Amino acid sequence: MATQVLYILFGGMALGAALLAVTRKNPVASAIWLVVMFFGLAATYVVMEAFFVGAIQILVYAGAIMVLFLFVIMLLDLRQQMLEGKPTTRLRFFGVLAALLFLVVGVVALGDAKDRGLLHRAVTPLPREADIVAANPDATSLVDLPLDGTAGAIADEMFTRWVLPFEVASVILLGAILGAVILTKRRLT
Amino acid sequence: MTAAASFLAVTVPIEWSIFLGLALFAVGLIGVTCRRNILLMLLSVEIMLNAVNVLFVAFSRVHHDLAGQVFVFFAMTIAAAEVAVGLAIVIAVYRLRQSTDVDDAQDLHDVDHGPLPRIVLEGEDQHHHDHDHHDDHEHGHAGDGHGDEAHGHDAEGHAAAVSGEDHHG
Amino acid sequence: MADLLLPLASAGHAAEVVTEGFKAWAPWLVLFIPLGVAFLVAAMPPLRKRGNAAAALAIAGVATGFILTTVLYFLPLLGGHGATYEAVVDWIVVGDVVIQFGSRLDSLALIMTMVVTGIGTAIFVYALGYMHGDPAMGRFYGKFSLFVFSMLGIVISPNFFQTFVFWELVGVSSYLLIGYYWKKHSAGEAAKKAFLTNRVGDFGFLLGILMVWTAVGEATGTLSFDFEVIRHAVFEEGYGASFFGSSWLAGLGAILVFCGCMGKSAQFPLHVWLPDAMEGPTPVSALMHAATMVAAGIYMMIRCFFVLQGSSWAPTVVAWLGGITAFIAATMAITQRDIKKVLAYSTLSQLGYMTMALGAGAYTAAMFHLTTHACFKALLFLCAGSVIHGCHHEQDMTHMGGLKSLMPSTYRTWMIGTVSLTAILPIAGWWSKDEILGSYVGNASIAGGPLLLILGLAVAGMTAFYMFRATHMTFSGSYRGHHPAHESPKVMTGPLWALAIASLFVGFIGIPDNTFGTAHTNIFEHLLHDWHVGESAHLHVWLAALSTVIAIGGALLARAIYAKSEGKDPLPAKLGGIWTLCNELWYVDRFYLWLVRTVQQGIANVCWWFERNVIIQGAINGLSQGTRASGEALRRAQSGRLGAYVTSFVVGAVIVLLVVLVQLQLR
Repeated sequence: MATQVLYILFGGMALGAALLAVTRKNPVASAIWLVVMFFGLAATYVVMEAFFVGAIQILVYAGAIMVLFLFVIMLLDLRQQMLEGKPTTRLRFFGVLAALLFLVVGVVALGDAKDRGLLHRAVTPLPREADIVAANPDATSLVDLPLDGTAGAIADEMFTRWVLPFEVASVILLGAILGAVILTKRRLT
Repeated sequence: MTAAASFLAVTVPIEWSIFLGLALFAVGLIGVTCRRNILLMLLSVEIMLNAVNVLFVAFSRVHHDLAGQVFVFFAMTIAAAEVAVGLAIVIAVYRLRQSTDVDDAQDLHDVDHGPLPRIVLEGEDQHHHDHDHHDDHEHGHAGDGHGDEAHGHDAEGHAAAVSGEDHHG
Repeated sequence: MADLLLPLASAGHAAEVVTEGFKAWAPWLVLFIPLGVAFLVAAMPPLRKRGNAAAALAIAGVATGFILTTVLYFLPLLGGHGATYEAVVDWIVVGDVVIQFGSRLDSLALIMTMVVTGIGTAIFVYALGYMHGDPAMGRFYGKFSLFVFSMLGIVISPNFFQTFVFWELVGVSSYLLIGYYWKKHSAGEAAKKAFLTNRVGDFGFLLGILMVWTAVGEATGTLSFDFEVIRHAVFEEGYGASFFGSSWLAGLGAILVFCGCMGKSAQFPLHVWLPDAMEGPTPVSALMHAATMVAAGIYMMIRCFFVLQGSSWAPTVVAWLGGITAFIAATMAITQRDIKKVLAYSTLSQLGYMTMALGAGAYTAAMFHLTTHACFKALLFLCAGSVIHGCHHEQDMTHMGGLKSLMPSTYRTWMIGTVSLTAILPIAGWWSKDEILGSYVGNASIAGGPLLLILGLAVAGMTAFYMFRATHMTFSGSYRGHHPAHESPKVMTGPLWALAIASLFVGFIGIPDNTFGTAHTNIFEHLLHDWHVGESAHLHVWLAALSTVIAIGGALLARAIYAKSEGKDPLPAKLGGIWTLCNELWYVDRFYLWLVRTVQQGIANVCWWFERNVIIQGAINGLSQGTRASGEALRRAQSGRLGAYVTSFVVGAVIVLLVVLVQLQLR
């Protein structure tokens, strides 16, 4: 019960912050609201027992990405840009309509998936999870089993199964860094 | 397997997480489609990426597989890279145009060359369509006051297929 | 052929081997020598330019053919029995269908080959004089040889397929020959007319061949164009009845095959090309109208007479078409002033007789008349050529006259030909024509048979009338021409006399068996042996006497009117409207002209309009205008505004999701 309350609290916070972030006129305000959203989401991750994800959500997003955003906003001194022209009403109408339609479709699909039992897969006593299954005799579906989202468990997974994608990701980051440097240094005419 | 972890587990319905992801994505969509500031569009894209991350975590529980959470890590990596490059582009564009409004960058839009010239068929009675044909040419010159590039050439070959585009760089 | 490879055992054996080798190779030689000549003339410019050399080669070629055929024919007769020489190779093999190429020289084909090559030789020699001084003589003889080759290909053909191929070759070579004076506009037009008219008939012929082919396949289980197989199917496999279960279709097949004959032999609806074909040089007219092209149709019908026999009603149609052709052609001949045109229409008329014989089932009589007609019609044409040559290319009979004394040889041979054609005295034409008319006596198989007999007698009278009209206008009275007339050289009168002698005596090979009360006077039937079907010809004394009286009457009438008329023709004034009708060729040509100019042009105009306004304006221009309009509309979507692009992308993606969801729900 407590977890559900926490989840609604933090989830609602994230959702509200996101809405505010996209509707603020001032870009700085938007960025700040986005930081709020990141924190909210990190909290929901923790509630979902994804501790490592929650931690890097704060470190990477709130710490690094948002700082970059704010840095750029302030660098460009966007105060003059605040009074941006409004997009045509028709465009805005279609955008909102499409987003709402997406939400409706998603919810219907979610209900459908639930009806088909896709969200509650039966417990399969794999050797790897044999002891977890044994420790939770009450569990009726995989969701009910506890999932260890600590850094150690993630590290075990990441440096065994996903070690190659991990290395590729580092190359991508390197490429992005170089690209960013070149894009900002070269004089574009 | 800590005691705290087992205490928290399973009590949050998984549908909530999925709904949260969907709703965040919709919000991000609204942001991308309705904002004209390129920075805010990037920001909205971040919201959408986060929505996907929420779904990753939720489904990692559904399948009881840590791969979902590992993928969140990768997604964040890519997001960081994207933001770095994206913001670099924003700066470059700002340098060029002194603006972050996407509507100020419309170089890829269609250029109005006026109506296309009429094609006269081989063996067609010249006098029969002569009037139309003449008219088209008038339009071809007058209707091109659109600005950026003048339709200044005189169309050669009265009776052959005449195309104006190849004279515009 | 294998015999050739055997080791020569003895001298006696050697003679036999030589004979067998000759039998194996001669049929091929007969066919391919004329082609070789044509090829040489075409391929060797020196030969083409030296007309006399080309002529010598061509004459030697066709004469060799005649000698070979004669030897082939009489070789087995010495041994007391007829023979069929077959020399065929598999030509096209598709699955079970084997189409052969080669020659099957049975008695019918041998007689026809003798007629073609024999009369061909005479005409070839004659042309040497007639074409003297023509700069393109080499070309002439090359085409001439090609024409003979095409005709021989039909004659010796063992199947419908080869027949059709050579049928078309005859069409092409006739086109070349009729248009020989290609600088003359009318000659080119006539060549086109002949070719196109023949195409109409050939189309029907092709359909008929294919119909018969499939029907024979139905009846016998083997698809074959071979004449022997078809004959077998008709007489032993109940082809007529089993023609897809319809005797009506069997008749249609026969009529369609007859369409080919209608075109080549110029029967009633398609007869219009033949008089125009007079634009060619006179030797061409002689060859075409006597021995080759027009004979091809009749010959082909005799060769596949069983197709006609397979139907109950088709022979009646054929007979009536023949009767109509004979009659209207005779009426047209009466009104002509051009000497060659008179002969052309008389050819039509005589072909009508032959077709009547085909309809009555008297195939031997048709073949007999074909043979005799080939002799005397070639003679008449060559005489006409001689007259034209002597009068410096004057063809109008009103500008002739009095040639009796100026051209004595020509006059005498012309008279023999005329009498033979008119069938007055018991020479050539009399016997054959009477056989045809006799086949209608007591013949109940043809609806309106007695009427056709009366029609035939009337035509006999008209034949006499127009022939003697031409004779008197040309040879009687005083010369009315502008240039002094002269007798033709020996090289021309020689063939005239040869043909005249043939015309005099060829009739005697077909004296009906009952004439003298003793059996087997009808040598012709004996010559044809296995191809003679049906009853033997029977001499009806009353009919012979009647037709002779009618013919003499016609001749006397012509004499009364034209002997002293000096080129003036009193008939137009007397006959009035009937004359006009005949002179306008019964308005058939005009009708065709109207058909082409009004009906066909109308259809063409409709098509033109449709093409112009619907296809070009509607489909093509519509398509381009539509493409352009949609481009005009769509280019506005390229606003260059990121927001619009993103929004449309999102809307599209959501629509795709929606569709997927709906599909999932429906499943």
